[in-house]
Amino acid sequence: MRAVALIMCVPAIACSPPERAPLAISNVVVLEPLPGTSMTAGYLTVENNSNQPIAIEKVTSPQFARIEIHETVIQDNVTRMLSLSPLIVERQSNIVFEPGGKHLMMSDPQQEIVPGLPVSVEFHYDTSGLSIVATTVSSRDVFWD
Amino acid sequence: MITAFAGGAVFMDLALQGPRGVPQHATILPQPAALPQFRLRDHNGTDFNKESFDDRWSLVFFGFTHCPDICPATLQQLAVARSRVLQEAESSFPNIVLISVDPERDTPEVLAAYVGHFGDGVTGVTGPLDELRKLTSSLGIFFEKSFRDNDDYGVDHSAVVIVINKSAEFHGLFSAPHNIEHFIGDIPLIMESN
Repeated sequence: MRAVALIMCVPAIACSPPERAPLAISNVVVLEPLPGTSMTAGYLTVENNSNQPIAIEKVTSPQFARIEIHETVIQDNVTRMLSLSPLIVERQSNIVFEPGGKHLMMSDPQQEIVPGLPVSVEFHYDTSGLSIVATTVSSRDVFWD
Repeated sequence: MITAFAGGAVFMDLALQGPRGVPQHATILPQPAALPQFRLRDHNGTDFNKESFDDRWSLVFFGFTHCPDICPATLQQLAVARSRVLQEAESSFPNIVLISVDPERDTPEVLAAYVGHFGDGVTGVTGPLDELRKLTSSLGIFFEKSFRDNDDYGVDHSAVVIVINKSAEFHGLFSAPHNIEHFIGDIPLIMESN
């Protein structure tokens, strides 16, 4: 009887979903700044795995003095940049940051930003939540080749 | 008999060309419009005026170097399109021109460093606002400062790519959002049509 109970427990444990962070950040791309400029753009996917909306209040990085969440909006062939602060990620949903849409505007680099440089990006959410992502700077042909 | 054969050949030729003979994405003006006189400077500090468009096709984008997203993306798309078109033998591609809507920060020196990233065949242009407006008003280009916090600002601006023909006339435009394949498909057709 005990053996049967043990056997029955094994699949139960194996099938338990692994604990998922409420906020998952992936596909982070930090582009090299263009010559003569002191800012660049970052792109990524943010995923809310929880059953509550998540508010990303700010984004920081040791490599940049200032990061803002922006969205490029094109209406009637005019482009405007909107500030998204905070960015609300609805429950069980994701938001893709991509060229021509949502992006991180990363300004005032604290060191020379060149392709391959390790960069840490910190996402502060819901007052005390923090998700840190490590990546490296990408050259500009990563999206268009 | 011969006439019928020739007519059939012409028909076949047109049928085979099909929509390839007509730009599919660009808007072409029924009647090209002459540009006004204006006086700006290119990234080398040389005068850039209406005559600078003479005798060559140009693709003009109005943007600024402090623009993190749409401006570099558009220039990169144009540069990639140019690179791919020029891989074909005996092909040519218009000059790519970035005209800054932020002359306060975009000096010729700043533009020189910036446009250099996109390879040969890209010209950066800047100059006084009143001269800039002579050109933008004739092309229906909008731009306006949008202030952020601190002293920082951005510039809202038209995102179209303007086509200027070899007679320095406003010939057509590509609406945003842009697509490399649209440039590759349409630009050779536009250049052949004139």
